[in-house]
Amino acid sequence: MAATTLNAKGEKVGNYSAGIAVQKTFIHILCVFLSILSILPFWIMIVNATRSSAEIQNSLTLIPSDQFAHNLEILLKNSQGSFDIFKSMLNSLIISTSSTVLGLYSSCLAAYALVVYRFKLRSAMYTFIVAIMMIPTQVSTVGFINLMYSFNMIDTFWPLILPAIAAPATVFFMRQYIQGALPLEIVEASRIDGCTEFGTFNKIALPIMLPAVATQGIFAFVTSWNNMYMPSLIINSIDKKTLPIVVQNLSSNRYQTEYGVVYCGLTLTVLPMLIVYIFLSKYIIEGVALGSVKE
Amino acid sequence: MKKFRSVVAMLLAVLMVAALFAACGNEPAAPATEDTGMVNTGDTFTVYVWNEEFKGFFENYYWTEDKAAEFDNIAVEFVVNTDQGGVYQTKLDNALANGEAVDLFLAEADYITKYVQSAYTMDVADLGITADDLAGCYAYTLEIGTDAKGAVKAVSWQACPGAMTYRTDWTEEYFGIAETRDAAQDEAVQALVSDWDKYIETASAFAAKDKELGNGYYFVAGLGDVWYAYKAGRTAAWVDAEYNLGLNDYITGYFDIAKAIQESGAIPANGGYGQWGTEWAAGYETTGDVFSYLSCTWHIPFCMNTGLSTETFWRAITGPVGFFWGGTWMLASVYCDNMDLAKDVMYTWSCDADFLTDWAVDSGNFANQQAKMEELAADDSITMDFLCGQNFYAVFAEPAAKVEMKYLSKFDRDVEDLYKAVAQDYATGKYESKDAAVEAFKTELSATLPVVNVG
Amino acid sequence: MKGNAPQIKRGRGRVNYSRYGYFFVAPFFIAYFVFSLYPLLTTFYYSATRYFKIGVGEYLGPDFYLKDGSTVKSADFFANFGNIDLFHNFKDIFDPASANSQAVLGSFRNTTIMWLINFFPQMLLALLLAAWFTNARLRVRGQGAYKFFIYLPNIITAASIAMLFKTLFGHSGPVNLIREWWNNVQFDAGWITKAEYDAFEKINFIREGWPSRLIIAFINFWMWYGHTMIVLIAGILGISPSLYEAAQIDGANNTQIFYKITLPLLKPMLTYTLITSLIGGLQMFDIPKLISMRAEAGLEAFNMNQTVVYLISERVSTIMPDYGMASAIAILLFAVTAVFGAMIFFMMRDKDEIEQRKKEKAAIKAYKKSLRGGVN
Repeated sequence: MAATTLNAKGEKVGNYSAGIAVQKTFIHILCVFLSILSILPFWIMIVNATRSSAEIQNSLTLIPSDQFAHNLEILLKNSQGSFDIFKSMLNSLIISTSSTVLGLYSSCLAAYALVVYRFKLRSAMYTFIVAIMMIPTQVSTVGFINLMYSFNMIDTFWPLILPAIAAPATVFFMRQYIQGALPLEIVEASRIDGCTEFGTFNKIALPIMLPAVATQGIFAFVTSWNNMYMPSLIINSIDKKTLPIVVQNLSSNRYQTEYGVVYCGLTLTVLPMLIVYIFLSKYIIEGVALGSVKE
Repeated sequence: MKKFRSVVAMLLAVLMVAALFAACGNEPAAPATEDTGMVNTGDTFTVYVWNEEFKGFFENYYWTEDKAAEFDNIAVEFVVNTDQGGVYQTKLDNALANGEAVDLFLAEADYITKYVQSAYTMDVADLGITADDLAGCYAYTLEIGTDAKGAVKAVSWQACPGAMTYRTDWTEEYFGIAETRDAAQDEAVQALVSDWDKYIETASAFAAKDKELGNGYYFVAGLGDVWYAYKAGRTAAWVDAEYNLGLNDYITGYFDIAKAIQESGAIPANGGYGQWGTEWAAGYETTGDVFSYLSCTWHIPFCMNTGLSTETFWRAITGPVGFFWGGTWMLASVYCDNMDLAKDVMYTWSCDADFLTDWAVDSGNFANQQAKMEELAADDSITMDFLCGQNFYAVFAEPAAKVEMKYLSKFDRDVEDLYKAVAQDYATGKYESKDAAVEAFKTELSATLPVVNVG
Repeated sequence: MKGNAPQIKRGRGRVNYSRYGYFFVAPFFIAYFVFSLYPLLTTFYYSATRYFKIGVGEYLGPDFYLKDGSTVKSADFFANFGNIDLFHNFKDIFDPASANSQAVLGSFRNTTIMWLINFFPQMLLALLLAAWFTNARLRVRGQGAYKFFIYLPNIITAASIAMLFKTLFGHSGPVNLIREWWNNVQFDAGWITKAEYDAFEKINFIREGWPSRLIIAFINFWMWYGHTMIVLIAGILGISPSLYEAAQIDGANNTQIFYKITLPLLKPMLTYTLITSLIGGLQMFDIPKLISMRAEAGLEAFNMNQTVVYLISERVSTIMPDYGMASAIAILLFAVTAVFGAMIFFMMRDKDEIEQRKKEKAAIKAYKKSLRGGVN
């Protein structure tokens, strides 16, 4: 249908519907292509995890086969004594959860203080926090490792959890959020009611901050889970390894004579974040959007 | 703003000075070297390893209930750190430097010198192991473990002469040698690879034939294999006592061999399958695509014989040159607090002839007991299924006696990693001349190991 | 006024709650000083020294360099104060004849090149998609599903992805299978000669210089363009819709709206994304580390892939770790990051508060002037 439209001045503006339809089709084709591109490597990985070594060497297919149980069995047998995928998932879970909880709590405390209290060094501290936000942690590697040795914390989880208490980006974000969401009269009211400052924070402010906390929490958790640099420098013992470190072991194990087993191992390491994403994608994507908008 | 700035500046200054002095005093102390006799106060026996080979041996052959009871059922902990990227050594060194309770640790030939020469390892005589005890070992294993003052610090359970393993089921197709799976076939194949020139010739012939047949097979897995065979013939140490780099024609001759093999198509592109990777290991299987490996005494039981295929088709011959590949030694750290157990472990696994022989025969390994191994070699009734009935000990006994591990330095591992990388590039045509490759090697080495004089 | 929690007047004194401010920020600052600031300062210190580990528990240094190139023990710092050359390591890094220079500057070059190859396509694609998805007239359906798939790679552990791509592009991986199949197809159809067909070899892409760079750049692109797209969408949605309506009434078409309205208003967001992506790119470690190992990849490929953080980690894990140089490289990284971070800092400062303080200062100044009486 060649519907012509008129703009406000009454002039013909051209063939909108057809033009738009073409554009839309093109967009959909491109987006479908991109979606497939995002999925394809994972799909190949999953399919190959179900095929036998000979099948993998000889042909490429997108249809799964039936060797998954076999591959899984060999993987678990082979990894005995040199790495443990499930234990490493547990380790990653412990580290990520602790560092997220501690980091969130301390960031909320700091952000709350920066908004609610008026103290002399307040703006200096805020400036400081924004200034350090962009410094990568890798810069202080050498000093950090030496420090951990002198604290005797090498090969423990503490160096991976405690530094997370200082999370400048989270403080920045929470401060912005609090400025918008927390009316200061509530604080005054709760003081009048005889609540301690700490109690006010815990019982009144935190619940209000919860949505932002949840979003930041997911990101902190994912970032901590995916972190490979620090754990590779700190952790020694097999039973303390985290998941990203174990990934390296997957293809350099002398027993790994079968290709399917490597893909099977990779699938297992990808699974946790995949599951998290499937359930929480909406919040994660919203969080990215929120976190990036500067009012 | 001004006030803030001055506060921050002052803070930084204070912290900087503090850091200066704190770090100044942070140098780790050398270990105390008093003779305190046999210390047995530890509650855990800690062993640092990089894979589970020794752990398997320990648990399956040594740590029986009786033995455990003898040592009050002490807890035994194996700390496994991967050997990739030097992580094992980094962690071990840090543990030792911090005085952690490391009882025993393992080391390989290409970095053992560092530990033998350091003050952190114990003389086995202090543990109660005498020269008489060690008399049955292969001489070279003791030479490596002896420091400049003549103290033996490292002992081993194995000797590691090398050999070439080949697939008996392909010789007919490629070389017209019948698959008889016996000494006749071995000799015929050996004649084809008896020195480096013949080896390269045969490799090229194999590659050409494979193009014809279209099988997609390779003569040898990769340059990694070839390097181990070649480097054993080195006539100079990588780095001498004055930290000078020791390159000579023999060492640079490797570039030519690597290039010839790569260009003939006898190995996969880009240097072939990297050792310890999946593709390298996949070649052991029936469905594998590799004709031969440059293998050794521990490689056969620990790697090749663990594949999933139940068919056997590998046999072992000497190959282009006699060589040795690695080997693992045990060392006791000065922080050992379970000396009796450490002594027992080290003694049993290097000096106890009967124990070692039983272990060797049962697990298909080659023990560090010269007389016993030669006995087994002469015994025709000993056959190994995996090697299609060949006598494993007969293959290795003679080469074992000839191994000379001289010219080791503590930089070997790092220098060789770099050298192999440069050789791979030369073989794949990234340098126009050998001299260019050697220059590149020297330049890169001077950046990675500044202490070495590359001259 | 915002940020001013009212203070309750009780009787004669006023209860000052400001000390709670200090208590509440304490955990953050203590953790930061101990785990980040102190190590950073220590790293600064080491970067000016010669500091090697030469054996088990044996160290060479930390010693300070003198202007003539020799070294003194750090305890003699003040004794030789006039002669100390704090920048020795840095001079070495920028000295064209030095081997370290090649390695360090090479790593910065690699990092930048791989980032550039990754970033520009990423930005263009993300911008395009964001423009389409926010276009009210186009009304693209199924956006939620597209966003779901496109954002997915960002969440998955980079280590797993690197390993996956390494396997996919490896000798026995699917990419080579496709190449082989294509070679067969060409030969069967008579498009190539027998010689060319025979010359086919399976390549291990990650062992070649440029292919491995492209693979690493592609992985980064693939992992991050979804994220950038979401950020840009949020930015576009932040633009007041009335502007769009006005433009539509005036008869502007999609392209005109995009270039004349969306893009200019999006500029701060674009700059922010650019800088954060650059800072993130400078930290690239996981992917090059797993894909390019020197012993496997060959020296040339490795030297083309080694990023700055990878180089730092290498320098501290050789048989003779060079803490001095590693720290110097780290400080260099710090300096570069600080420059870009400063740009963001200025972009994101709380303009309202600055306005406020300016007004306050002006008011106080005016008041003081009025006290002195008149203009002077």
